[in-house]
Amino acid sequence: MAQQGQSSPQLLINNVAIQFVPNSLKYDTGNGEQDVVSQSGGGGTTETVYFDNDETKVGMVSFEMYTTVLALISHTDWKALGNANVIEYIDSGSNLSMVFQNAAQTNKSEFEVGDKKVVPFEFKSDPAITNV
Amino acid sequence: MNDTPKKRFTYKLLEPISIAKNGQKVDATEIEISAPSFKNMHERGYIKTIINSTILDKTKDLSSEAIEKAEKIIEQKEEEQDDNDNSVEAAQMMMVIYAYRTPEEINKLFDTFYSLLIKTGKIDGEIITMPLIERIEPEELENLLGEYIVNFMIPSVMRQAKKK
Repeated sequence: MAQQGQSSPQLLINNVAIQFVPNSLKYDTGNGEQDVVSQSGGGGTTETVYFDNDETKVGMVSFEMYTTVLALISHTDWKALGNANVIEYIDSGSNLSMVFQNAAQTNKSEFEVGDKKVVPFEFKSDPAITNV
Repeated sequence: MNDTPKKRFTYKLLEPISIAKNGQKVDATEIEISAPSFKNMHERGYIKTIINSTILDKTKDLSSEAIEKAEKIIEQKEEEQDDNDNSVEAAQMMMVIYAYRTPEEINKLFDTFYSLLIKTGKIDGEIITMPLIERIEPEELENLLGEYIVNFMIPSVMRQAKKK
């Protein structure tokens, strides 16, 4: 059966629906990085060792907004809340929803003024809680 | 009758909805709504129009004895000043509105109410937004609108009627 890609999700930040530039939204669920290395047992035998790096287990959501007054107000509010923001990602085409708790807007946002100028926002948070 | 306008009322949802609060997603049930102010005159005006026309339409169908009986009941309730539980009156008010108003008027009534909720309501201390309203069960929204009318609008209509 053909599957449908996630292309038109709804983004809520602190219970407010956010209008963002289409196709600019990215997320990382915060499952982190893992690695597998080999160790030798001698005589040509090896065994793999699996490492799970907790240091990399941070959720991430990034998107762009057009440079508007609302974008500036939202940015000010998000920064003021520190890591007390909550981001909800809801995919309209499926039952997928994700929550990124204790999110902080971490990047420095440069507001460029002009025709179709955008401002990037990046949040880091607890690993996502996913509901499918 | 208690002539002091009510400033706010609270409504407890039977089905909690999840909201973002203090960095976490939590279940919330308690909605607090403040009385409409100068900033909400448009919304308040429309709801009052609906109530007045509904009451007028309904009284046309009632005999004079029934109207006298209803007035006596209202006076008795005012004397008791028992305004903590309006759930029966709220449900009855909604039934009458559904009976006498057109579907278009009812749609506009709910849109007006949502606008009021966003401007004057909080849920567990957080400002109500449209995405949160969409999570509330339809029947609870009807109950909430009924409570809003009974707590704020009907007393205002009654106070104005008494001045005539």
